[in-house]
Amino acid sequence: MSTPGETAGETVESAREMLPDNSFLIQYPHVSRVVRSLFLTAFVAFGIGAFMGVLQALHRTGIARIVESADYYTFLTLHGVLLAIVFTIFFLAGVFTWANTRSLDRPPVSKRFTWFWVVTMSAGTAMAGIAMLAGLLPSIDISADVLFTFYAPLQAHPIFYIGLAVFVIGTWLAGIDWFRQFLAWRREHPDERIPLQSFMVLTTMIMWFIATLGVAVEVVVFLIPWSLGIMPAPNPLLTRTLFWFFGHPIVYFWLMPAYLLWYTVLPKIAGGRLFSDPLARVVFVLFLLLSTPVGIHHQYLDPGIAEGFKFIAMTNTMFLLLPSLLTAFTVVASIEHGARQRGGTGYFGWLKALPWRDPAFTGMALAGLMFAAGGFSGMVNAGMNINYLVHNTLWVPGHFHLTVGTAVALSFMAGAYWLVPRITGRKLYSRPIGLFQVVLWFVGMVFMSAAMHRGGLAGIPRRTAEPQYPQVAFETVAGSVGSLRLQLAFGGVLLFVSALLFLMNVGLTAMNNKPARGLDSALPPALSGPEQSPTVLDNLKLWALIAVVLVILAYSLPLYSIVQGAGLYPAGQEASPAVIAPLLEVIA
Amino acid sequence: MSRLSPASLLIVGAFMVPLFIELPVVLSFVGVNLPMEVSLGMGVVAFAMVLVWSEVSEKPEAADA
Ligand code: HEM
Ligand SMILES: [Cu+2]
Repeated sequence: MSTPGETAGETVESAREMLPDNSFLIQYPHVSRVVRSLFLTAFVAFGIGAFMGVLQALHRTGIARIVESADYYTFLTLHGVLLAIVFTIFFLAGVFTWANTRSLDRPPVSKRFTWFWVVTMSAGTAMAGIAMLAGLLPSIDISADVLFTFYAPLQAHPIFYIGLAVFVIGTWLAGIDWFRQFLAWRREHPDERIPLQSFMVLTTMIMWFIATLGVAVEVVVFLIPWSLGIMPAPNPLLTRTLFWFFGHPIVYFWLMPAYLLWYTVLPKIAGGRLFSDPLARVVFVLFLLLSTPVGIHHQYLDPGIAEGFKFIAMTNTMFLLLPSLLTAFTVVASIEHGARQRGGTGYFGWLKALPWRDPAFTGMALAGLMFAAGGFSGMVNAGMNINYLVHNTLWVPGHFHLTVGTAVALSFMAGAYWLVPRITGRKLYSRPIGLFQVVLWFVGMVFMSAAMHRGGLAGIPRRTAEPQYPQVAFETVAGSVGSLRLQLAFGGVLLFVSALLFLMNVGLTAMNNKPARGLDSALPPALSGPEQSPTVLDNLKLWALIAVVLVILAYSLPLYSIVQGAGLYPAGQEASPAVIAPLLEVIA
Repeated sequence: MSRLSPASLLIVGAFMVPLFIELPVVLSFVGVNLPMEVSLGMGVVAFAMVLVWSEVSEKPEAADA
């Protein structure tokens, strides 16, 4: 399909001059390059991760066993780390770099520093990636089959942990870069409200600084020295607790950039305006406060943590539903406003007036819808008593493929359809393929996730290559386990095809010689603007302080009692598998 | 003329998938045992009917003319 007024033989270079002066690419060519390079890494990780995903789906349902069951954990680790850590964080770093620059209307302070953190993050990723991939080569004595929840007693090669540490340091430097950019803006605008997108970036990063302290201590103090053979094996419960100190807030590190897109980009695409700027700020402050003091809800079944602490974590978790419900309200109100601007009428008739043909809109709308379903199954996970029913079953991957696997991943794909033309100046290769792709992701995920949820209720475990046991018959409420298996594998295949279509569409966009059109980067002002929100909301120091206090309250006693109980290094704790001793012999 | 564009058919079809996947589960609460295959088959039939309706029914404006 060609847009009217497009002349043949027009090149991207000549068309760049025709882009509006306020388009992002013209104003910030260098920042656009940074974003492009971050997106490239994100999409490569996404492609490899998705391939591992379909292998797992076919393998554990017994449909096609292309890999050895013994290698399953290597694939599963690659899948979890590449998708949940590399794809998500590189993409969000690109979105944040774009959003902070766009909303502050000034570039980062130093080009050198920006590239420095990009390289740091990439180097860390490469190290961790090599350690994981080496697990597939028996001739090399390096492996990291510890899953993306890397705690003791499973042990990986030191390269894996060092790579993770370098990667996290890279994200800290990125956060520092965005804060410096903000402070430079602040000097010139001492009395203005923080622009909304920048506010979202900064609150998210404060949350991330607090959250990553847990994983930094776990990796640097315990796992690296242990994997190098310098120190004994750490207390597993302690490393688990430190991991989940970071492991829960990381889910908001994924979600908050998706929310940024929903709050600021989606209303524009829908033809409307954000319903309420103050509400958006309240939501991000609530996430900053409540994301971290809840991690123990991943440890309801861990012996060695008193029930009372688990109960506190559960209460905080239930409060955390509030900002997500506020988001659902604000986002739907904003797109309804957009639909009515486009001539939509009636109680539900306005739904028809939305730009459903636009993959960026439809992708984000479907992602939001699936997030609602994910929220419901998340409430089940969060309840201390019913968690026992679903813990470590397939229900759990069923849940988080709705949240991170769709609410986040599909919003990012949809966001890419909108953002990639803006940072390349090239027209989206195909809107129909884009639309088909996001809908296919939705359909594939309905199949896979529904089967996982129901399989989990029937007791089928997660994280296992061959969940078929001759002595056990899993009983389902409706349908048979056989049909659930088919459903899971079928959904996995649809998802993989969708992922390939996405990568192809974005790749061809990056090489497209047709110039993008009309890319003004202004976002419409909110219906209820920042002047209506109390200035205390912009007091980032205050919120950071309260967040730290809440974390201390939630974690000091549990950590103290864990260390009291079994010490930092309980005697007789062995690594599994033992891979380091041979390496040390070579070095020595 | 078709009532629904290819894009609308895609969206309508997509929204039918979760309905027919969850139907057997919902029915099991009231004691009805509907096999998953049958439910999905019903979904395919329902979608085919939408498709046919979209092709044969006339647009209101067209009918007025
Ligand atoms: C092509 C699409 C995908 C397919 C077919 C797929 C399939 C699967 C399957 C079958 C499992 C369960 C394995 C088991 O427990 O034995 C799994 C686990 C997982 N998936 Fe996916 N997935 C896909 C996309 C994603 C995306 C986009 C994300 C996140 C952004 C994601 C994150 C995860 C994580 C974190 C795990 C848990 C790994 C673990 O237990 O350590 N997946 N996936
Ligand atoms: Cu959590």
